[in-house]
Amino acid sequence: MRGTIRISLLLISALLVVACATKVERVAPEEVRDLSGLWNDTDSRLVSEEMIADVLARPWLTDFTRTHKSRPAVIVGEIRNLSHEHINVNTFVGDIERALINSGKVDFVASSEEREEIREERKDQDVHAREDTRKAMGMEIGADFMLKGSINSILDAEGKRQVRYYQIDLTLISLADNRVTWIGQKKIKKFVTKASLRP
Amino acid sequence: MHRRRKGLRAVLAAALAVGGCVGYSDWVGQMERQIAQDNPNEAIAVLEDHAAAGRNAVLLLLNRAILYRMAADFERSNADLEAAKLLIDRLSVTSVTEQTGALTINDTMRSFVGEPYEQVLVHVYEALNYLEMGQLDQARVEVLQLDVELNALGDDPLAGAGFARYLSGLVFETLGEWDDAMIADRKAFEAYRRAQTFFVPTPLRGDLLRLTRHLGLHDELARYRKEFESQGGALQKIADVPEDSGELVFTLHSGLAPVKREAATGVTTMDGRMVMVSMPYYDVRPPRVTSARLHIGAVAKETATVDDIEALAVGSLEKRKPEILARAVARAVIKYNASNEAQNSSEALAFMVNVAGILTERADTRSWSTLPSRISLLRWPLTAGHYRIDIDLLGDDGVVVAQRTLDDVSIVAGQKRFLSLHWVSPDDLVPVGGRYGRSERRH
Repeated sequence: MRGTIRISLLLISALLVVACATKVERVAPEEVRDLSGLWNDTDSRLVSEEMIADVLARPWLTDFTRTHKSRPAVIVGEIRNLSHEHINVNTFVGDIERALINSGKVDFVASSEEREEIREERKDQDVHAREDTRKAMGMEIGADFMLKGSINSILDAEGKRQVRYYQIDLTLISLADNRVTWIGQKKIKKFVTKASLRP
Repeated sequence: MHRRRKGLRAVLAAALAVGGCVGYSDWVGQMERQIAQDNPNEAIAVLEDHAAAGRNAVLLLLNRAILYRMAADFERSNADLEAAKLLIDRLSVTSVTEQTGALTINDTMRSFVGEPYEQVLVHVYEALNYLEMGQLDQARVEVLQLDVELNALGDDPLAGAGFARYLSGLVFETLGEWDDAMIADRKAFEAYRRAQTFFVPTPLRGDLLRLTRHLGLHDELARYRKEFESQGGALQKIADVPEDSGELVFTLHSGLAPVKREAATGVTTMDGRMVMVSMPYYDVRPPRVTSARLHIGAVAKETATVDDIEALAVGSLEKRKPEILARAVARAVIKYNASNEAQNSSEALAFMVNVAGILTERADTRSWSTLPSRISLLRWPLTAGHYRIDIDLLGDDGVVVAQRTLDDVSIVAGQKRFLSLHWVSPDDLVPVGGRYGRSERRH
């Protein structure tokens, strides 16, 4: 009898130890795992996929290439987060940038912060680099378009149920004449039911 | 016999461990003394050395967030507030084991998630941190979350909605979203009136008049003007901020929130057993400094109270008391019955169960105690430039308690500059006595 109790206690302790151990499992980036109902990697991926497919298929690109006989240069402007969550917009903006550059149809210009750093480096080269490797000032490419946008959300909650609606709008504005040449939009709607009890 | 003594020691040890508050007052006092000596980083070290996470994880994060804020480390402060927010959301779901623990052992068996006013202040402080870092869109996110939170709380006068809504209005106004600013200010006005803790603050009155005029809401402007004039008190000038001007928004966070303590009452039953009921109460400690007078050159302006956290804390506990008492009584009955049942086995076991019941009976004295007792605010339109600001910290009687100087405060045209000062003096650590019960055992 006493032996059975000891074994049971041992088993319970073992179970507790197993339950407390950190478990890590590698999953594919495209695998959907929703935990809290908040904005997550899947939402970011859905936005970039939709925007990339749309921006490459629209006429602004062919129109520009035909008229100017060159690829358009784009700069990423402000993407405002006007939603209920602290969302990192750099993830899908980075995806969009990568897809456009890799398509070979669009050039990207470094952002204003990045440009400052590069200009500092050029200044440094003026003093320290060998003449034949020095990069001159005033040779930068001016952007043709600026990508701007916003994330908006509507949250409707009642008790443990929530409807979370996100709308992501991106616009491509011509720097020459302020024309809006492309508008991309992605809507995401989630219905979240929170747990009623926890252990 | 030997085995029985061993068992008794085990029960006592377990009971003390569950109580989990041995030496608590010592380190909290040590942390608060560091705060009063303006050593927030030392206070963080004390907190991290002594505060246990587990069921108190939220409390640790919230207290550390305020200490980081005092040390002007707004980024870390917000990281803690954000983590606390997510944890509160997860822990607000009823836990079966914790509820069972609360009914059989004591209320501290439940995870700390804070009172509604504390949950609202999580967003308020996160928004203030973002504003001080100049991250307006991030502050806007907090303000939207505040709206959801306050809507869920309904018209609870103890949620601290007044200042939360007023701050929301300020954020919208800073972003040039006038309609939303007006809506937030209207809600702030209603919330302050509902709470009835003090007059509608002077800065809000000024803003309501200015915004209604800016948006051409003439009937509403006349209504506010009439109401404010009938109440008396100073009306701020309603001139718009000139285009070439910026604005200083200064908040003073003075004193420390009241400290929760425990009042335990023991009753001996007819059969000689002891039954204990422990209830929390607040020891209030009114702040030595209640407002600040800012001097720029020959001009001086004073802050106005916008939030009375002491009143919110005391009021919230009063509201909760029937529920806490009901649980304490139910617990006493359960513990008494357990002791009775143990008597069927042996007298010694019944004694041990009774002792364990008494030792484990603790009131839940957890609260976000690094919060200030009061918040006051001043809006001051200034032409763009660099300023030296001398600050007189004033007591309730208008006497200058201390002085501080902010050197080289830059104001940019068309922008608001948010600055804050946390002020805790050694006097603020001394409670003025229990308002709701006797102090028998400090937790």
